[in-house]
Amino acid sequence: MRSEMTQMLRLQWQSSRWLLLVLAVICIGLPQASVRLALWVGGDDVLASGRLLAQLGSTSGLYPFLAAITGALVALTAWNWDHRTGHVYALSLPVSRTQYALLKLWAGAVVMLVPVLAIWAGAWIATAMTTLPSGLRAYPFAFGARFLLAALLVYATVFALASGTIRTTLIVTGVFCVLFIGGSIAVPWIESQFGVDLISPTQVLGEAFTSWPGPFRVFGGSWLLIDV
Amino acid sequence: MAVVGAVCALLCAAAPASGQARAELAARIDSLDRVALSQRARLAQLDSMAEARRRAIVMDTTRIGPFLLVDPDTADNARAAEAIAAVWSQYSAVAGEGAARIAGATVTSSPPQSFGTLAQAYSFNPGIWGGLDRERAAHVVVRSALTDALPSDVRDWLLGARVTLRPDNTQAYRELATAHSHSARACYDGDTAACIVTLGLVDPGADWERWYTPDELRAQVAQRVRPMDAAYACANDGDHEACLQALRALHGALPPVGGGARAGLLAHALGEGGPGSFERLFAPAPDVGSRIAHAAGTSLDVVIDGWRARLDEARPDMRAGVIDAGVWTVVWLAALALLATRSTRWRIG
Repeated sequence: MRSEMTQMLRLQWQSSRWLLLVLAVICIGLPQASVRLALWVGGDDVLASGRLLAQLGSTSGLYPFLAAITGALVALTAWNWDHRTGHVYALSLPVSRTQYALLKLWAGAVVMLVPVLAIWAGAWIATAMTTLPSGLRAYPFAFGARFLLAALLVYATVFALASGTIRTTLIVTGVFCVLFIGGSIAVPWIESQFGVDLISPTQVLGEAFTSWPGPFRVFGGSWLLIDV
Repeated sequence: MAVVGAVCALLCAAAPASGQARAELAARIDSLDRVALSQRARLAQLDSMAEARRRAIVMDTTRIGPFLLVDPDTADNARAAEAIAAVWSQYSAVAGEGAARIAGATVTSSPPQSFGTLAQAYSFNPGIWGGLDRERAAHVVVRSALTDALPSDVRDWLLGARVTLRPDNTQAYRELATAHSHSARACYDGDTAACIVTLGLVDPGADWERWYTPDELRAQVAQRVRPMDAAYACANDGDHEACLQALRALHGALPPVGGGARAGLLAHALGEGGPGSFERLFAPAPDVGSRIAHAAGTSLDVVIDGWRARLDEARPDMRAGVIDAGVWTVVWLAALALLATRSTRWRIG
């Protein structure tokens, strides 16, 4: 079992190492860039705390986006060569499909630690090299943990989608888009025509992002690297 | 026509021309006149169409608590009424008999030109703020009406913020934690008297010395005045008097915390005071602090301490959010992993 895990990890690394390198560079640089920018815009005077927070808030939306991109790209690279070779390789292995999928899931999650550790390091370096105005504290650990959870969630979602055929993935994605767009148009129309209150797809999506047990609640929290 | 004649005379004088050219010029002037006339006719037609539309609209008046919703009789109107009723139910107990102070407040979601006589009505329009939904629009209406009814000293003290029962205490906490003011720091550390000063419930002093030290005032001047202005010099050379003059020219020093924090204190007082607390704000009192204490039915110190406790509860806790997220993330990861393992390897062809 250990050799299978090692083999799968090696395979995953080979298929995604250049992508991981690029993601790692972005992840290590973005926290430093946003903190430097906030200090530059906010100024270094004693009244800078509020402006620094406001500026950090304006760039904090980039982190959930980066986490989502990281998770999605690693998940896609995990299944990329299976789709390219028509899953012949998987058929030749003496493991069950369930075991194979779990090995792949494990390997992808492990290599995703590269960008996650990079953003952790970037956040730590950015805050350690900065003298924060009074009243503010840095949260590089919590920030990195939030990034890890968000990236893992997107990774698992895209991984589950990509584990099927491309056709299945397209059908699932297409149905979701049609339901979302169609529902967003139809629900207000039905409400105005019949005077009833319905739950719109936008509300459902909003709930998923803002309340438990919505799967993407972690995206809705605070992504501030520095706060009070 | 006098203008047309003058233009004609000018053109004719400027270009003495043959009979044919003169006829062409006259035709052009005639056409200009016709354009102006047709524009006037078009405007008159639009006016009459708008008037006809106004007359055709069937207006419906719905009474919701103290509010009068005046709108075209549509399903949207009914839902607006529901939203306002739901929000008013949250405020009605606190308002108590004070509801009479806003009795007859008119609410409309129609554009003002639909009925000019209601130009002063409260606007219920979820669309104006983009994503703002009916509930939030109803909150805006109810809060605006209550704020407008406040005693003028309380309204001024709020610095433009509205009455609310759902204050953003997290933002107030951030404001208090980062304010560059000795009184705000003391308030942050739990000094009740300093909080009373910081919130502007007592006079900050002629030179705002109860809010700011001279250094803090200089920093504020440096922030609010452009470096090229003469007043900026006081920030560098440490001339305290010059800084005070600069701030007086800027209509005074900015309070250490803004209207949001003050609205949070008022919300806490109204909540503590319970039914009828809003009406008690109107009882004769020497200052805003006394009004707030009266509304809460207790001493100002107790209200302030309670408000500080609320702020501490609302402190943004980055770690706690991540721990909560972690638990549910593991559950969702397990579900998604299970989904992934259900796929089949037999997919060739």
